[in-house]
Amino acid sequence: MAKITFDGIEVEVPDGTTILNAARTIGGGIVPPAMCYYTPLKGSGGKCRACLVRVAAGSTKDPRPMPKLVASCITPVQDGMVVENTTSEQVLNVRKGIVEMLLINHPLDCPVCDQAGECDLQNFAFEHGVSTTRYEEERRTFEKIDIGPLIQLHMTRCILCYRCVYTADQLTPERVHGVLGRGDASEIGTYIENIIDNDFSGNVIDVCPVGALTDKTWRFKQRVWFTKPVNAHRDCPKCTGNVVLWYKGKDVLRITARKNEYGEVKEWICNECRFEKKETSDWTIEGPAHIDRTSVISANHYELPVINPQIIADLPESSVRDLEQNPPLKLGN
Amino acid sequence: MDETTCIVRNTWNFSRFYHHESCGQCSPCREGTGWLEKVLHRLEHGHGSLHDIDLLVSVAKQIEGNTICPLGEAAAWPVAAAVRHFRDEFEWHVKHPQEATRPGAVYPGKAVLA
Ligand code: SF4
Ligand code: SF4
Ligand code: FES
Repeated sequence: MAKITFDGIEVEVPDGTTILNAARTIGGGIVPPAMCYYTPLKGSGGKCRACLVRVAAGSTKDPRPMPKLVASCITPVQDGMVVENTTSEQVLNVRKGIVEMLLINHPLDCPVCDQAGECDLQNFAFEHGVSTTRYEEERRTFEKIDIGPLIQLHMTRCILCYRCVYTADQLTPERVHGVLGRGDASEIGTYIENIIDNDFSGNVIDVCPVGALTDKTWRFKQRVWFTKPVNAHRDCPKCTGNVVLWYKGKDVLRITARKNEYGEVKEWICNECRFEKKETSDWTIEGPAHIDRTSVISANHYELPVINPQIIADLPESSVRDLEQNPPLKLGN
Repeated sequence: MDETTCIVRNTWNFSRFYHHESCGQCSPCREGTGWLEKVLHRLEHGHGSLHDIDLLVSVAKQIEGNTICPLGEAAAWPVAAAVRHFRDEFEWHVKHPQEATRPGAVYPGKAVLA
């Protein structure tokens, strides 16, 4: 076990845990944002630099600060490490810079984008960015590409997080989906516009943090915040069959996998469940799905991230009072 | 390269190289190197503003230290250093675009140094 201090809160985690996951055991507003790291995907993370934090002391053995900010999603903890996230001005400024970098070539066509309302980039920019741009040049654009009959790639919106590439690599036996080119000309592609044709290809839509990969059976049907998420399951021979149905009135407009509070898929679902079973009669309904994030889907029921009650119980009285006065944090329920 | 070399053109050439070499994995370098190149292109071709010079320093600072590999720094440092040491020549490009973009133009300030 390793004991680390994250933004002044002590937490003990198993050796080898990343700083980000240590922060997630604390929970609440101190958790660094992650645009590319995705727990279920091996090897993901380290790309977007959204999660950079300052390590003020490396470990008990070597308490020197690390010279550069580190990506918390891929840096393992050391016993005695002291990490600063929201308490470091430098980190917050760098994060503003990252938002700006991600947005300079982004079309920002949220009003016509299917991801709007559940878009990680919208959330990231809103929470950590500035509202102006200094970029005057023409933005990079690409043609829309159909990847098979069910998925559309709108590369212009892609932030190159590589999540879909890892998904295609790890979920499907024959990988036909990857990154072509390099630098700011890189694009996600399926060599010669190949169809991704296998039972789990639809999951790339769920892992995509932005509106770059979209479900063609759902495109332009409805804004997400007008739909009602409902948990449901069915007996599926290929996957666990646990999904979220997105209703508008009586119609199921879209089906997705269930996600946790960090937007990560809990169980992968197959294409049959995702694209073909759009009747209520196909499903056993469990009840309304809880949307854990501060998303517009939970219209008027916005939730602030909450610190793990267990961690609070172990804190000294004075630091609890400090935390309560610290705006991004909310304690308990 | 000698004292008649145009610093702005030279810096633009550096950043053109790094823009081309960036692998595109991490956002600061992928987007930042292209941005630097475009702003320098603008300055070199006489369309820049004084504001652009500070923008260069700021973008270089946003890349530096935040990338996966040192290519980000390699791209940012020459730009920041050029502006630090030769700011007058950058300003000359902004204030006298016609002179500065003439083929074979040499920054007159240099003659004093020689
Ligand atoms: S991907 Fe997100 S930020 Fe980009 S246009 Fe769509 S909703 Fe807007
Ligand atoms: S298409 Fe989506 S998931 Fe794939 S790299 Fe781009 S943003 Fe990430
Ligand atoms: S989430 Fe850590 S670098 Fe992207």
